[in-house]
Amino acid sequence: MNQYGYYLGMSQDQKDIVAMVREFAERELDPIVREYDEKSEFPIPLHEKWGEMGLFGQDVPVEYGGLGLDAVTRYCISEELAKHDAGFLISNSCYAFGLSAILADGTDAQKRAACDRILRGEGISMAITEPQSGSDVGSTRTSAVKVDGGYILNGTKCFITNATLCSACVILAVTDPDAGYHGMSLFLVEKTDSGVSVGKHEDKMGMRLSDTADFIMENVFVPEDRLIGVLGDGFAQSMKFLAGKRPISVAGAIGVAQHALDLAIEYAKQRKFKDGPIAKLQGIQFMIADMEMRVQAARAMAIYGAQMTDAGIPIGTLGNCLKAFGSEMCYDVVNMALQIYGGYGYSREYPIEKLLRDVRLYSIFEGTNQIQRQIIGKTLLS
Amino acid sequence: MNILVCVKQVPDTAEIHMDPSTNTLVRTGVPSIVNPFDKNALEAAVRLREQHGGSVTTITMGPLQATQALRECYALGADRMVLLTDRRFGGADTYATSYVLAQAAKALGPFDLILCGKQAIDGDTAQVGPMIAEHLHLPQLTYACEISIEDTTVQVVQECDNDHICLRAQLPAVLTVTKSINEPRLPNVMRRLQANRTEPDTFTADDLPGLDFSCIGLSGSPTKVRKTFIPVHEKQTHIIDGTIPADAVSVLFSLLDTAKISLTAR
Repeated sequence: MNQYGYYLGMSQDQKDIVAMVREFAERELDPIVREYDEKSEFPIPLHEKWGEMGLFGQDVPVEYGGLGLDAVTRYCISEELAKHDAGFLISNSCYAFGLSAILADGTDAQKRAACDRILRGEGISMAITEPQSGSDVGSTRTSAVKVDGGYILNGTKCFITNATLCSACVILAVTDPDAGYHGMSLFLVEKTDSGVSVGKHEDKMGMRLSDTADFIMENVFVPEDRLIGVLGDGFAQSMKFLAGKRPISVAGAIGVAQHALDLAIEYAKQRKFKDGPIAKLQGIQFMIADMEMRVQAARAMAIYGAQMTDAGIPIGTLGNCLKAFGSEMCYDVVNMALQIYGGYGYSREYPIEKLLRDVRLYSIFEGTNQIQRQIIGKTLLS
Repeated sequence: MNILVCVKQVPDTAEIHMDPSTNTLVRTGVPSIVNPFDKNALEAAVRLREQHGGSVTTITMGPLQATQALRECYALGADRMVLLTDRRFGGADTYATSYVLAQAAKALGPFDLILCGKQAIDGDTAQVGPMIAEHLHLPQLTYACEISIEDTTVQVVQECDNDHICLRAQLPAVLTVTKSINEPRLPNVMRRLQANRTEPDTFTADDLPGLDFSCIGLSGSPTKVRKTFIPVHEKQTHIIDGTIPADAVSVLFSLLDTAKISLTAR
């Protein structure tokens, strides 16, 4: 972040909020990251402190008692938090993942109830992925069969962030098997509903502060008033709200990349080669320059996307571009930082190794980069 | 319980360095923060308010830019922000500063307690808190690491080099607090945003009744800085012949005596 903040037009409010997030992260998160990365656990007390700061309300509109922060501000918060730990960022922000779907298409009563829960610190997750259908959402098998007064849901959702921590989950399920993409709907499923269980915690390569597990439903009755949006529109609703979240989602990748760049610069100034620091070598300077260019480009693109979201303009394929470009930029930048660190970069004693483990996820989750390219290409050529 | 908390906006010492050619602090581009000990004082005040009710007023003397420090205090739980700002206050030393703060306390009060951090991290004088007490003729309890209120008295545990002392005084009183008294809470975002939309109550020298203008600002400051310099740290190594241990110890002790280093257990 330069003297102007993340971008030239940053307001005093945004600068202050980012400073508060930094204070939180430096004081509370930095000292425990290594321990929680090793034991692969989300630090719940820190999430509670996040709430004490009033930040549960970041995604909740003002009319429902929240802060009603715009997408640009939420981008800034996410980038700052990711500089300290991207896994914590993912689980922390996914407490309100399902809320986005409810705010986009839910009834006023559903929105109010969901916002109250988020403000109390209860998580509402979102579950789309299944063992046989990741990016291929069309292959969703979880079924919702109409019965008197509601629906019976059956199926297993996998790799669900906060499956263990959440109090409820928004589920994409098939309501009309013959209607393809138009035969899926969204439902709010409570963890306390009879027939709901959670699988074992995923022992992941990276993002280990984030909670990930299966969300399993066996003959779960869900009353009609928990249908979110229009019956049969679940796929379109999901894609729409996921696209709107892209700029904030990619903020994590940009934050980690910036952190890796900062570490590489610091190390290059200290590490000696013959008579001077390796920072004096043109090979290193070119690497640092390449890293800076890519981080700047991704950030400009993401903030542009967030500004469009705030203006109510659908970001279209910019979201897909952002997802693919941001995640690949991040991996490359962290990998170059590791190269600058040399052997120490490969050692777990130093911070870069963990960053590389963490960022590998970005080109996989929320639709692989191959799917993103397919969408971009198809859209441009249609 | 109405409490006044005096705060100072200081340069972030983690970001500061000296200009070796002039021996002065390079302050350009250095971010300003609320003096960390003052945050401890504010936290102590907010906790007392939570226990006993009342209000917490936070006050600072400085340029308009010091409003940022007050807004940070508001986000940490202060009820009211007061800025004392006037060109005539400029250049004040600890005496002139404490005089203006004391006069403001009289004008804004009455307060049951006036809390200060034990010292500011830029000047490290630890004089302003005690001087406010003297100007107001109030009891002063310094270096408090615990505070409790009983009826009309305040009791503190004073943190000393080697031990702790329990002190009690009649309210109202002036207290200075140490870092170990508490861990300041994290700021609240909603309050921070409210603070950004709120202006502090601003007072100039003309707004403080009975102010003696000869006691404020540079002209009211008896402290004269003759010179600032970076202390030179010299490192000397003595190698003592250890062939006969008893002799080596004796030599070591005589060297320590010469250097005036005491080995008295702390």
